[in-house]
Amino acid sequence: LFLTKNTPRAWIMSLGPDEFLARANGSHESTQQWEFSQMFGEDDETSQDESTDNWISSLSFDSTGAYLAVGYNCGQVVVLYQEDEHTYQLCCEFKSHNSEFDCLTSTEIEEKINAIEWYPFSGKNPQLMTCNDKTIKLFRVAMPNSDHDSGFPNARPRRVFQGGHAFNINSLAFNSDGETFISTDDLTINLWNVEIASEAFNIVNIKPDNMETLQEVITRSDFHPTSCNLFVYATSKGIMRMGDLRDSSLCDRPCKEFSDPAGAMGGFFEELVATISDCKFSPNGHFLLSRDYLSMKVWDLRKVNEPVQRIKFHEHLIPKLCDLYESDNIFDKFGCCWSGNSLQVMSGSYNGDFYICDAFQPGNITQLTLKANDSTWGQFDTSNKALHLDWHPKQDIISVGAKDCGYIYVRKDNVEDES
Amino acid sequence: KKKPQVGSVLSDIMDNPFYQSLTNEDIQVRTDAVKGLADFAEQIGPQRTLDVLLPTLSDICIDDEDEVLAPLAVELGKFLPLVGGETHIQPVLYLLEGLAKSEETSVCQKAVASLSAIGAQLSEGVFESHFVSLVIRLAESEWFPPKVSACPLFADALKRSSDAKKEQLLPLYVQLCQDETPMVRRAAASNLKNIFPLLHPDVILKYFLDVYHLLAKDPQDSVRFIIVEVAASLASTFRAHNLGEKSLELVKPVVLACAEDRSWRVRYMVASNFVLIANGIGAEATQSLVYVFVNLLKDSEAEVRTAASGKISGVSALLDTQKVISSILPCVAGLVNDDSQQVRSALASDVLLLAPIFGNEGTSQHLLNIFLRLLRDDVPDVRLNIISKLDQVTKVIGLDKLSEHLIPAIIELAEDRQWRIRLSVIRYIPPLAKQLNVDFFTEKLGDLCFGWLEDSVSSIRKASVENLKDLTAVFGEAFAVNNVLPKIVELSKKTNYLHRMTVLLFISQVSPALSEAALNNHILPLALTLASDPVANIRFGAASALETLFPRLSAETKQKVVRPVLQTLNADKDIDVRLYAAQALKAL
Repeated sequence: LFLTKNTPRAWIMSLGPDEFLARANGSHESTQQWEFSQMFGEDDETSQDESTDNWISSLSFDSTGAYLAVGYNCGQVVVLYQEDEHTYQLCCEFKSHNSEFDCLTSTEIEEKINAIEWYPFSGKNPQLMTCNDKTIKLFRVAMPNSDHDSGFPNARPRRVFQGGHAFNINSLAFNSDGETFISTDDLTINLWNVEIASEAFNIVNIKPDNMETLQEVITRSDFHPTSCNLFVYATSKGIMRMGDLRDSSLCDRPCKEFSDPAGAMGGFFEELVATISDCKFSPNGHFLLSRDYLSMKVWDLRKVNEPVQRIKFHEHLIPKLCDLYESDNIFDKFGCCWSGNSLQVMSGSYNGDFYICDAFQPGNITQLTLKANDSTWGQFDTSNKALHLDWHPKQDIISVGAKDCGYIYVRKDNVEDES
Repeated sequence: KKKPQVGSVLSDIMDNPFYQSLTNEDIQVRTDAVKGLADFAEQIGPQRTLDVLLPTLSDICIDDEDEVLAPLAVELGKFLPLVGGETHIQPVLYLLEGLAKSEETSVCQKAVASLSAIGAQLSEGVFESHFVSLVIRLAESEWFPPKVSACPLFADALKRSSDAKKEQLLPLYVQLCQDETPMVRRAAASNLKNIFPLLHPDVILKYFLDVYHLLAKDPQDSVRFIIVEVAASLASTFRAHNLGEKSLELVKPVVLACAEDRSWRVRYMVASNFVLIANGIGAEATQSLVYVFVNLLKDSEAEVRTAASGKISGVSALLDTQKVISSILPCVAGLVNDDSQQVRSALASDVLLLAPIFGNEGTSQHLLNIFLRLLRDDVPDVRLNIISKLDQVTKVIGLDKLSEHLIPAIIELAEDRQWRIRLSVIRYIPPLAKQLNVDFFTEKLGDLCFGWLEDSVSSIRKASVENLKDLTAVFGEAFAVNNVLPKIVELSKKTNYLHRMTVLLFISQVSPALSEAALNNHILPLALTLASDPVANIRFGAASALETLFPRLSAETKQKVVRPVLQTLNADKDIDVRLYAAQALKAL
């Protein structure tokens, strides 16, 4: 029996890695059809407004998929609620962060929301965590009481975690224990207790004694979905290190290091394109997905020296690398994500393109394009980049954010997961 | 906390300002108001509390912020008498039940505490019909926060339940222990130690045996490390029923597994709970587990070694001395050189407590070297921890053997660059002084004590004055008059006004310990001289210092000697001096 989109997720989750691979490799899904469902955000084609304030900077479904949170450059967060199979409605909107002036360094701390993560256990009032470069905040989305008429959902700040990072925070991840989370900046990772904002434990620190010898920064990190002790962080050198919280109180020595020397393209731009911009554990916990500039790689946690799959969907960019370097686009950080059944992966690109690929079937790639502006049709538009995206954990519904618009696509003959 | 004002006339509550502040727009106003709720309810009486106040509180509970709800939960716990007794308690319980479902832990915890407090006062019938059913509803909720709140309340429910009722409640609790969310499992596991003592071992075995083993293997580390405490509780409950062997059978495998757990946090829990476990399983069984403790002392993770080091004396007290010497002391010798200063620091705090166990000869033979090594540690914290517990050793072997090493160590710490270390040393001087004779003390440590009076850090100067006060209590007035006062007089003539301030501090702090003769002959002249100091702060300080002396001075002295001086100060050019002088004159 091969795994298809209809296979109950609970059963898929119960498979061990080898059994999963055997069944995943054999399945041949027909070309899938994805349908544009809805768009949210300001789509004012006539607007002359050059500002990027309203551009999306992060996007995340909660663990049930009923809620979708979108963060913006201006510090706003919008929470959408799944009303029915195809439609998301506005649940609430709030200003998460304000810009601040750091007196010590005389720099402005932007209000841009770098990451949003939902608390993994759904309660009556779901909770989410947001961060800008320096400060992490926990919010509770308070649902109005059913017997109380005049209530609207609103987000209430619950806790502020600050002072933990000297460098810019790039990711947040909750532990499966429901009690702790990690926050990651360029050089350090801190472990916090959700209830305690006054202290954090530093578990990884790759800062060299002499900053002038700095070679490598951390780009993303993630916690394992079920093993409370495992986390992974990706670096600008194109490697991922897995840490085990059980080993010792300071996790500077990784227990595993994933790297793909054989996959190196070589050449002048090798180092720049090797940087990993996003990494995610698969929902079933057996695999890792990494996104570098030109490809996505799927890794088996048991195999560190090469990925199980290299998914190359950006080959058409290779001849343009020079231009992309000149325009600084080579530094764009594209996100990536898994489907809820751990069978597919997705990432975005330029021109409003994004790619949905079978994680274990080489070559099975579906390319879609966001509803593009007519004016840019035909040109290669590097400003229209689908950096942020996420996949509903239980259904084949995806959300993509590019510039100031968010898009929701639904797979045709989408089957709601009964499990 | 705002004290509510209610008229004696049966006035309309709605117009009452306190009542209105409960729904004020400003959250700070609401928070402050809520803290006076119980007083207000008492003043308006049970009828109006039920008819008017509680419905308003109900609205608040639905929608208000956590900062308001947490103190509200606290106040509700006082409402049993305020609603006229348990026949009317239902609406209060209903509100608290709602608060116990909050996602905000501070609100939940307060609600649970209040429910517990009220529950304890309910009669059996009401307890069963209202309280127990409430607990069951929380435990059967679909969301996790109420389930977490239910766990501590189960102990209350079980305490007063018949065996039949227990049979109904316990399966529910077992389910909580196996809940799919780790938060609930943690709450359920950590409250087992409150539940086990309430049950007969047979009942525990019937319901909890499987779940106990399941929790010990829980995939979440944070659940597994609670199991250590649970094991200790299980052990002591079984022993209390004289089932020591069964207790060991249940506890030993879990403790052994946890002591070798891959997660250092779980091993840490075994180390830090080792004495608790040992007390639970008894001295004989502990002997057989010594090797487990020794392994923890040698653990690869410093945090675990630190926790174990802090329990050495506690564990050793349960073993026979020979076993300690052969198994534990060799480890301790190694720990003295541990790389981690945290470990050595914990060791230093605890190892001295072995002295009473070993007795005079044993201490000299086996422990003395260890103490001396730690006394010479690089890290001040380690040395301080030794010094602070020295009285444990000197009780056993006397001070002579130590003084040769001790005095130089103290002097070195007393001059440390970090003022907080200097401060800690000062605090140990009086207890140390009690064990020395006054001449020896003055010779070796006198200069130190007086030197601190002139320290650059004001906290040190303040502490040093207190030190002199304590020393006066130990050595008596002669010491104060002969040794201390001359130094103080010297200090009062220094050019730096801060030193003269210290003199004033001395006057007000130490004078109560001195005789009237000393006061009149030595202290008073000093204060009077400082009253004509060129610095205004000193002058008005002197005025207040003089005021503190009044109860001990004769009327004649006060009128003939002190008054004129104060009157001069009252006409001083500085406004503050005039203020203090006027105050003092008034007191006269």
